[in-house]
Amino acid sequence: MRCTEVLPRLDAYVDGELSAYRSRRIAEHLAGCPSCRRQLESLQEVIRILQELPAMPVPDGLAARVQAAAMQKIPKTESVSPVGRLAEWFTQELQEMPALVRLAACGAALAAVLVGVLVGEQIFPANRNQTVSAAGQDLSGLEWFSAAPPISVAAACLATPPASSPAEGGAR
Amino acid sequence: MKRTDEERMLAVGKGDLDAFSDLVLAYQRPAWNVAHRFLRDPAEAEDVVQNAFLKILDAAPRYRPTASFRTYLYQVVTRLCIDHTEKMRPEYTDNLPEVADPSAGLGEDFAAREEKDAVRSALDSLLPTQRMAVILRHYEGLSYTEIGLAIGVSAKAVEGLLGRARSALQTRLAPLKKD
Repeated sequence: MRCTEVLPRLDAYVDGELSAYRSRRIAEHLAGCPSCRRQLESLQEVIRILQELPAMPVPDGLAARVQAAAMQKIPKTESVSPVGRLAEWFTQELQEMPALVRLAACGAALAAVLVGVLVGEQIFPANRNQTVSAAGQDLSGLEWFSAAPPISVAAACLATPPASSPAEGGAR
Repeated sequence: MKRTDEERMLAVGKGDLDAFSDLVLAYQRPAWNVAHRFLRDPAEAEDVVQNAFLKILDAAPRYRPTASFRTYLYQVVTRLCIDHTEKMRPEYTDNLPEVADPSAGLGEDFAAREEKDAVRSALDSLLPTQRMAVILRHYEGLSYTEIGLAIGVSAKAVEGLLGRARSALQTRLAPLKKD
């Protein structure tokens, strides 16, 4: 190798950043070239002087101050409801999905909500201020009327039990 | 079982503040060393260290261990140091205010302190990226690739930065060389 090839790579050579092959070639050149050897020694001397410069000790309490600052930054999550956290998680996951997958995920979430509402309606129907007769008949809508007089047709209807099914031969 | 730093960082992303504390304790020294050697002012260095860890905390939910946490930390600290210098400096000057060196012992002789001051002054005279490359190489032991990741340049560019920095330092530190 020539000096013009070696000198630009002396830093990498000293730092051990060259391949074994290239390091060997440079070492062979240095063994026979006093000029390049002087450059190497000068470089090593500067590195030695630099490395003797001591570090300043870490200030007392630095870690504690950093952690205190971090605690101030963290938003209070105690008031976030489980539904809120679920929504937050879902939003975060959505952001990482490709567009089409994101669309499908939103559609699936909406469908799940709709099914939940419909099933909920079946299990827990809305309270319509239901009125039930003594015979168990649904009197919804009749609450607007005053109570039937005791000997009226209405009272007689209300007192009549529900008719049996046709299969049972309700009409005789 | 002891967690790796990358596992700790992933845990921080899920809200594990104990993992964050572990990382702060483990890495406050290298963060401080880089910031203080670069900025020289203890108050500014502490600001940078604090901001670095807060930025890491902010980014934790998005962290992916594509590189080691150590490299990531150096990247954040380096960026903050260089940005800080860019904001503060009007121009480069050799006439920097003297900053008291708390590491200097009372028994330290004058010549040793003069040498230290000369080295610090020589480092301060370098361009920010050259100075940071020297600090990361000689005081933190980073490879050219790691330095490149921290500064945002290629490993080949790091070789060039170090070459120019050392050449400038050889000139300034020539009076200190042993015969």
